[in-house]
Amino acid sequence: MPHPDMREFWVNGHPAEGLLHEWLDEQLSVDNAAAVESHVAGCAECGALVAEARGLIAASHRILSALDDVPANVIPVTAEAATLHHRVVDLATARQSQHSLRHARDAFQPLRTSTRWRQWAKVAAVLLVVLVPGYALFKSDGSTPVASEQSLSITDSSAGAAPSTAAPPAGTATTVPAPAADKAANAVATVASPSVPTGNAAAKSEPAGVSRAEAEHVVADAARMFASPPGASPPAATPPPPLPVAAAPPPAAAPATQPVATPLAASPPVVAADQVSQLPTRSAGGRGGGGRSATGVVENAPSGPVRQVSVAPTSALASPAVRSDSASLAREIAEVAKRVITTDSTARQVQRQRPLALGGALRAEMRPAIVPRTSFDSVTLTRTNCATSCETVVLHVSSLGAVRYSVSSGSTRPPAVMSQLSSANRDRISELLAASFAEADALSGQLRCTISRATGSPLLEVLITTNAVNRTRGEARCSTSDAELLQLGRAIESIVGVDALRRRVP
Amino acid sequence: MEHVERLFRLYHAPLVRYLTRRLGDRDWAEEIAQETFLRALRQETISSERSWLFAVATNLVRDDARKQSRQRKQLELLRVEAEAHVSVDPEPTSMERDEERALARQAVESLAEKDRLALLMREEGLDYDEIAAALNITRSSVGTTLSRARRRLAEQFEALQRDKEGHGHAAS
Repeated sequence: MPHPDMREFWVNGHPAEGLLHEWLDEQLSVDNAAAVESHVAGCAECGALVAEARGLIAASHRILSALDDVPANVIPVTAEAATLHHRVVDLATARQSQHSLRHARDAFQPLRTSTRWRQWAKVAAVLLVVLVPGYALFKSDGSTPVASEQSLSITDSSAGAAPSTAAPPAGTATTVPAPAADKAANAVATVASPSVPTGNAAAKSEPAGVSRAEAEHVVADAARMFASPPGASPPAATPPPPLPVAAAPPPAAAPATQPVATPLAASPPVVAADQVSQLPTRSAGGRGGGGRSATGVVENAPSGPVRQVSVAPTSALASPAVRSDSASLAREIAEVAKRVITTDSTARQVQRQRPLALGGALRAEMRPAIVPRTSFDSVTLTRTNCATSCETVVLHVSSLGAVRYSVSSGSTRPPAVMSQLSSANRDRISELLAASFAEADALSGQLRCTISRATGSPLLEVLITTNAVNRTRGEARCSTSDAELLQLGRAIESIVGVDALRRRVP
Repeated sequence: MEHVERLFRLYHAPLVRYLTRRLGDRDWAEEIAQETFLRALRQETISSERSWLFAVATNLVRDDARKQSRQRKQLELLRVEAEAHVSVDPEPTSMERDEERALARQAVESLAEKDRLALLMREEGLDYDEIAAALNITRSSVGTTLSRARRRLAEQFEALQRDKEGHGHAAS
């Protein structure tokens, strides 16, 4: 007897078609489902309708699945730099800091059209070679240096500050700005410790598994590359002797600062971020002397290795917000540069075509760098007891690059043309699928490899569409056990192999 | 934020798949999905998460259709820009798969809007209550809607296949 609530769905004592679909979709209550089931079991006409409905459900699923084969946003690593360039520019734009925006664009514009990773490496080197010693100093000293940012040896004529030409004698204590030290600490923490939460959403995108040692190695490589242009002598292995740092008088409006004696006196001089492009020449040629104060050139910079601190111009220093933006942007740039270097020097990485405002944080976190490996990460079975009677075995694979293809097997569809699998391997997989579903459970089997949009991990999927027409509700639609399916997955893994799946990425 | 992150982990893939099937453009689908999650971020409480997300996404598609030409033009520019950096040729797809996809697209487009959306949502695992909530229809009509949509889709697809084969034979 139909449930009172469902009487309108029974026509002349037979369940309506919609009710049958609802039953097949397992959306009926227990009572109503039992009523439909008992009726269908004793009514040949309704039994035929149920069989037809099952066919329609399976057909719908198959048709809709065909829509999924649209080009994916999978691009090789060579596009990473351009993508990240946009990211940095977008960051600066969002912060509505004209100064930051200009610097970001100035710093990264050439990188779009030239060899990317070397350029990024230079930027990283400039930032990191300066910030790492600063951080080390910060850590070794154990105290936070006290000074204002205005006490940097950078002058800006727009602020009316007179350039200083009086260099302190060697070994003289110099001043270290607290914000700069903080920047150094933050930047180094960002670069060397991906797991350190910085509060910046972009920091979440740090690929896991990059150790501090690796990061430092990358930094060292970048520093060597930067400091040793063709024809230049390699940097000395020993620390440079103490070098005087030009001391610029603070702007009139700036509070008096108390110089603090720190080992920075033994560090290379400070150069403004504006001078990134000039650093190689200075470093290699060892030229010192005065410069244009308006653009932040070091005053009386002596010869020797050059340190750099990212610093906002005096005009921007008046605004704490802008100062904060600059520091944050510097961290972003350092992070971006490190990611590019790491990516280029270690692995290929699949990256979205463009960053997303929200997804930027979430997606990046869920899209770790894909490092080539020699075996699958895991084989995970996912039994999808969906309305279309399919069973899915999912092999989670982390080692694939830009791979997107599929192969079908079984009797209902001819094998599709595949670019990666050899015909012999396709046949072997088809045989495996056929043998695994010898009870005519499977109407067809499909093997496909995609990049998971949810996790970013490449997936090798074995999709089995089972024949559920003759099975009554409540029975397993696929009689193959979990263990057998997992075994099947392993067998396919042994045939396919990671190397065979990996697509050529230049 | 954690709430949205959890939503993102749970529903991003099915939502994008739903939108991709609905729109036939994964880029566009990603955009809509992104906007959907951004709205979820601004929403303090969401009672029925999945139906809310799918409903918002569906409404966004409707709204987006109005500015479709402008949107697609922008996407095209972005795509061209991105392709300029892509050094790997896209995976060649077989003619068979292309044809099947085209037929499927035609068949899906032939459905009434409500039927199409209900079917696509069901494919993503939404239950009848969620579909009813997302489409603002009664729960009791979902079964009828789905049965009609499935039948119509299968029949239309078969008809298109027959037409194609007929044209193929005529051509040969």
